Amino acid sequence: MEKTIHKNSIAYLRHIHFAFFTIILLCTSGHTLFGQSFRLGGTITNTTGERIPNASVFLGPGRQSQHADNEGKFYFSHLKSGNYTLKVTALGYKTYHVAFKIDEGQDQNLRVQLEAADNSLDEVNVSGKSELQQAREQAYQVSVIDAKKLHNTTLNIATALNNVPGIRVRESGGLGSNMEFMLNGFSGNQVKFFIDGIPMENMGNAFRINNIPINLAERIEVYKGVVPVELGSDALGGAINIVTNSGKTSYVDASYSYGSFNTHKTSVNAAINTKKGFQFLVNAFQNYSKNNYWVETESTIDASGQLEMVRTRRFHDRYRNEMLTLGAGVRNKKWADQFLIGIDLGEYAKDLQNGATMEDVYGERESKGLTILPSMKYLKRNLGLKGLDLNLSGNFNLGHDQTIDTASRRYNWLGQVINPKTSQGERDRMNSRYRNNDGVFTANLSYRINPQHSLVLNNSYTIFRRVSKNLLNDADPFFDKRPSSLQKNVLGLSYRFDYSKKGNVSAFGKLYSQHSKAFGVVNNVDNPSHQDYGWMQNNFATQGYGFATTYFIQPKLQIRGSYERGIRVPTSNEIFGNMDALDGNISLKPENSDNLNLGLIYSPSFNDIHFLTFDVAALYRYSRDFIRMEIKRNMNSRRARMVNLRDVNNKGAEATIRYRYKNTFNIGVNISYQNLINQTKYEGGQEDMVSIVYKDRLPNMPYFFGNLDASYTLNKPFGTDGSLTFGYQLYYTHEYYEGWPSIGTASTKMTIPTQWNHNANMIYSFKGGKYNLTLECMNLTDELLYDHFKLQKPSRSFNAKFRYFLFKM
Amino acid sequence: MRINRLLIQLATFSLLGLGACSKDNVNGGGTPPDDSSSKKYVIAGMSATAEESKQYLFLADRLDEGEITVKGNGYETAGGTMYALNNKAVTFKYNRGDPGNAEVFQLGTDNLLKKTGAFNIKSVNVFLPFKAQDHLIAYNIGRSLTTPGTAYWVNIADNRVDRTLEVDQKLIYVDGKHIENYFGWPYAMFEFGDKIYAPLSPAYGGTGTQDKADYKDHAFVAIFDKNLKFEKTIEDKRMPFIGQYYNTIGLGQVSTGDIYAFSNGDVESSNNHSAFLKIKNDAFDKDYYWDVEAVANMRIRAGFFIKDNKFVLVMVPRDTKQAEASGVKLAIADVVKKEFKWISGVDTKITDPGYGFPLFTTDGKSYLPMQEGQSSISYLYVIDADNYTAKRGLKLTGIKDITGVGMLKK
Repeated sequence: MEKTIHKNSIAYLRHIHFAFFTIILLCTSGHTLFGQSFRLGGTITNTTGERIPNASVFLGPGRQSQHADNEGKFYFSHLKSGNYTLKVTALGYKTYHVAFKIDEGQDQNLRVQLEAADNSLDEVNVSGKSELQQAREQAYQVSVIDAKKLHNTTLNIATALNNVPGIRVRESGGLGSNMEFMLNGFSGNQVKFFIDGIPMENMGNAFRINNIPINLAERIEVYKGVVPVELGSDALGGAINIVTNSGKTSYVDASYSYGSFNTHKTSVNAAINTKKGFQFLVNAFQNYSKNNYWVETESTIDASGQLEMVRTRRFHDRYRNEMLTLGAGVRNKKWADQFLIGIDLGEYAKDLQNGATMEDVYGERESKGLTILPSMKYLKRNLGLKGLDLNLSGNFNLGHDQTIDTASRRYNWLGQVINPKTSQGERDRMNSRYRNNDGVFTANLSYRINPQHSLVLNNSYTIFRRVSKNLLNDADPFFDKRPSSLQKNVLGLSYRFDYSKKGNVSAFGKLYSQHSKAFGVVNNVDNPSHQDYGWMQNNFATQGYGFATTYFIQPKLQIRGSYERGIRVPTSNEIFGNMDALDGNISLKPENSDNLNLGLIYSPSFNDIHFLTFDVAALYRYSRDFIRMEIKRNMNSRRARMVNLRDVNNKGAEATIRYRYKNTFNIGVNISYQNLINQTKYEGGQEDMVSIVYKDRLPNMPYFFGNLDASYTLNKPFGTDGSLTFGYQLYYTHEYYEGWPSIGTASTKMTIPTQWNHNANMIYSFKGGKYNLTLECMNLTDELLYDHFKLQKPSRSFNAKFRYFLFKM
Repeated sequence: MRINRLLIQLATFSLLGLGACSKDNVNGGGTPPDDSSSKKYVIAGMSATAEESKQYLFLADRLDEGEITVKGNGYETAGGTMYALNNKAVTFKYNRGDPGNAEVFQLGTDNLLKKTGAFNIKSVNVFLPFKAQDHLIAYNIGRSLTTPGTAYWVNIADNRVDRTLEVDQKLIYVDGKHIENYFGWPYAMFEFGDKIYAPLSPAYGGTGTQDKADYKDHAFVAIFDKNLKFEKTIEDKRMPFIGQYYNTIGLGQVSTGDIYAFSNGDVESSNNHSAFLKIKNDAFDKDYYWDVEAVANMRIRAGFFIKDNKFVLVMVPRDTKQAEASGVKLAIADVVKKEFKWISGVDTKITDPGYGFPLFTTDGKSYLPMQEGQSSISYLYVIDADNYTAKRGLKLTGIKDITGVGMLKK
């Protein structure tokens, strides 16, 4: 299922006009190794620097011809010095001609820039497909967000994902708040995130999808239910891959926005590629907000707990994070097509305004953390064999997270201290620091044997080591310096057969293995003392498999189907507990799920004026052994542990309809329905009666929701330059119960009410997209918005964003 | 809110007025009102699911027979602990981090539960409903040596806390000598004349190496006046600490007017037997000691004063594996006669819920919520202390962890 988000329909990149086709002759130093013969290489891009794959390249005289590869590269060798002509054609682009001379003793490296043909680039062509299109037309059930179209908005990755059918991002508050990501009924660890194919699980809280600005991404791929082996991790029901602008060109993209609730966001992304093949990347962003939005809630007004309804601003919800990613390396060397060493430095600090609902309000509780993540990337194409590509990456997080709750006061929603002398912290007195030392190492070997057959072998190795330290003076030092550790390996192999230009089929298998070790309660007792703790180990291995196939019935009618037996292995905490309220369960098994997708995409156009897209998909999931928290109450305590508890099936459907009129008007609507039904027949042991919630809908999970967006673009609104776009977005979520639907009297149940969230924006782009000015209004009608029971999301807000974008070949 | 309070007060007054009216009617020889229509029993329990369970209040017309279910029935509440006083049901949440407020419910004109008030208290785990039904103390236990506990007086008429008090819990005295590094963890509060008795479990709160003795095999009762002003702690070495967190008070006033205290004996010590002691004139009676465990060959898991000189005891084998296999057994203990008798009529295994057994007594009958083999079904067992029998009463389908039973009248 593919979907483009036309938050603003300015495809501003198309407005970057270059007066002439340019050709840049980069000098390549040194003499050729082949005596009198010379080489000619080149790269074909569009005007924004995106590589154009599979273009036809004709070299005259002699009319040697070839197709450029997937990376837009072509290569002629054994050339004599003299005059040449070059013609490059690609569907959707204007034909390109150039004449040039090859001098004695010099190899040539050309950069070829194609300008889009008048009709839209990404709608008409079949063979000259952009990466975006290629991503969309996979056999996998994938939705792709063209993030570049959102670069003028203030969205982050998570809020952008909220536009995709099947996805709901549930947030507990404003900027930087906790969020829960849901994809077709899967959530938490069941869906995995990647950035450029590298798992994000160890990147720390400073670098999370709800604080990464959309400008960092070039596109976002959402794999539903079935995950290609290139994304190596244990995902039960899907994966998100954020593809960044990997710096193939030189550019600067800088933006700053200011908005309600004292919100400041800055983002700078820049890449420099020198002629000698050196590459420097800088990605930096910053978010700050007081999050002092208006809420309507009951508040205690005195120490006796008397309640009054108040409308007040949040007063202890400040959030800030800063992130700096630096990379330096080389490109296009013999030994490496890319070699990059980088470091991610980030930190965050977050005030915690409330607990699980707004009835629990805090005035001092806070958390903060640090990410220090050195990383390495290595890419070598045609490693010994033509078509054999090796991709290596590794990173290691040296950061930590800390939660501090040492206040001895109680606050109310008006920010008043209503009890000046309590001593248990506001929730649980704590000052604990978790040092997460975790690393992810991936190796991907792909081999395109010939145009019909290709293989991918991927291995992803994760190490995790958590050391927690209680920083309170009266802490028990017994538990310090006893880290829990985990090593996880996911090995995947896939084979793809392109049996015709109209279709292909892939099959894959994955092997998961895990070794984990922790210090925890070894004797099953209620109130463990020191002698009840010891070292525990857990090892296991399991496998998953799947296939994906697609067929183009017509060039504009694609059908696709895919299946995976998804596996999610339990985490260290789930197996061993966390020495706090969570007990271990050494007998946990991996969760598994049969995920089946069937999709149809039809995108007709009429007279190159009217463009339509219909995208419908049906999905079926049958998931077993969901790892859920079971709460056991004892005389003295309430203990929780994770158990393989729930079997769930989900029959769902998603549909998107989109209409575009030229490049001016755009409207799209999508709806998602997921019918998650509990299939656990007995949950109180075999002797028990059939569970009272057998065949009940899963609680606390949105099941019917949809989005609508529309935009209208005025070209050259003030004469000669620029464009002005008006956009509108609506997010709808049908009401649902926090608890099991069939239990209790309906009118007394805790309910997350139906949500209508209206947003509007206005974007003015000028000087060919170099300068962009955006005004936004979120929650236009100032609704009380909730994703969770009694956790209000931001009231109406206004934002202004200024963005500067400069692209250079 | 003020208007709300006023309305509630008005409602309360009018209810009182109604009560007065019906009395007049009875006295005046008119038709006696249909008692069952204006009286309902309220039961607090959890939905019996392994996860995503919620707390509910259920209404029932009778406790000795019939069935109620959680399917499509039950008022969802934030809190799980329920006390019913003066025709109001008040629910309290368990922990600080738990969502929700304390909520107050009454019977509405439609004979259904109606939420009539709410107030916010954090983390209260010990409760004392006063016999006068006007107030209830909800107590926040101080959990370290330096942390005092906090008592909240909940005014039942006003649906609010009208007094709070910090209570120093450094209350552990052995042979009259204060033990420095320990504090007392009150498991219950018990109203006795103009005194409040609080059985304490000693807890180590110091730093460094813990004292060798943990004092848990001593019995402690802190004695306060009605306003929780500390008077003294009485201690006895003949049995372990008294009471259990939630629902087992460990104290009862028998018909002779004396207080009897028992220990569950839930400690690892040579002095660990479940036994009874007598408290007279604010002191342990040196002449009274009854080792129930020696008679029963089981220890007390929970117990409540039921009537006359009798306690109903829930007994369990001391060996935990055996306890899991055989479940619990009911018995009646006459503490004055030192007579122990097993209850008959329960011919199935009763599972130890691990939480508590709130005994509810009304109209001379007592009810104890219990679970048999099926963990999704609970029963209220009707306990007959005179004949040493028990039988199944109300069946509660899809309901577990019953934390309170009470009665509401309109």
